[in-house]
Amino acid sequence: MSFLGLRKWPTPVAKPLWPFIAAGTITYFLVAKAQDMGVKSEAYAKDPRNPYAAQIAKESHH
Amino acid sequence: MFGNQQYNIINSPLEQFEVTSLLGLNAPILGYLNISLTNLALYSLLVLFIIVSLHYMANNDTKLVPSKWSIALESVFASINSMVREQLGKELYLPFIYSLFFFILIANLTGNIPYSFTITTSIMVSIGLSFTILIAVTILGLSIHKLHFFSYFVPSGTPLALVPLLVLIELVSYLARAFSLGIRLFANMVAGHTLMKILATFLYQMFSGSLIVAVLTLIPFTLFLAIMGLELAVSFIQAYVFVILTCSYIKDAIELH
Repeated sequence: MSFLGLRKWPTPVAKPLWPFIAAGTITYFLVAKAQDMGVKSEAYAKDPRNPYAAQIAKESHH
Repeated sequence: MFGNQQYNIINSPLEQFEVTSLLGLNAPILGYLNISLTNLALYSLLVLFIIVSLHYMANNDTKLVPSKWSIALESVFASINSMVREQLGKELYLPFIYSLFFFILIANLTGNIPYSFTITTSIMVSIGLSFTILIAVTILGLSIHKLHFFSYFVPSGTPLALVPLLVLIELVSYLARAFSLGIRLFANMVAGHTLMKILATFLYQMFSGSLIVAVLTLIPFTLFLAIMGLELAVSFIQAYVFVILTCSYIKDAIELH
């Protein structure tokens, strides 16, 4: 299927670039992990800008 | 009151790099759902839209005479193609390098529009990119050379006594790439944009003074315009440096020194 009616080129993308796709997935999980750690850290757990502040406060009560 | 207004105008020069939520949805469903459209997300979508529309606009292969847009795009393609061919000897990784170049270039250039957000000034974006590249290059090297990949950390002709020290140095320098690549882009963009904001604040103050001062301010203003030109050049140079280093890292993984 061509993209937006553009000309198709017989270029292999998925086959040579699989390490980059795998690395992207790993980075995605690392960033998600870093975000989770940041959100739950001492400094930002009670910050009013933290959208998870209410949830963290609720969880710490249990 | 006037002083208060001025206080509102002069913000910290670093405030432009703050990621803020523009639209948010918080709902206690699926555990706890928080979906927000931040300025980073908005400008990422904008960059995607600009890249796609640029390529759509420059696509006129049905016509015999190319438009100015397609000539420009084709020359950019030709330069990246020749760079990839020179470094890697084949075009296998051209789609990735080309996309990477356009992503960073358009992201840097949209950031030069006053009051806009530059996504490459986000440490998550730039370090995320460089991390992805380092991990990918390591996977690529391991998949091609298997365990022989680790010979990369021992330069040929090393005396046996020096091997432990050199392996350590090589390993650190290899892992430092994950940060150096991203920090180079991030620091250049942050420094440039901070400088522009500081200078623009000074110029605003001087222009809003008396008439003579405002006229005299035109001299530093021309310098400011030159710095803006430099900033545009930096946008191109950083995108180019990023992809050329990515190419050389891929080359290192394929050829092992």
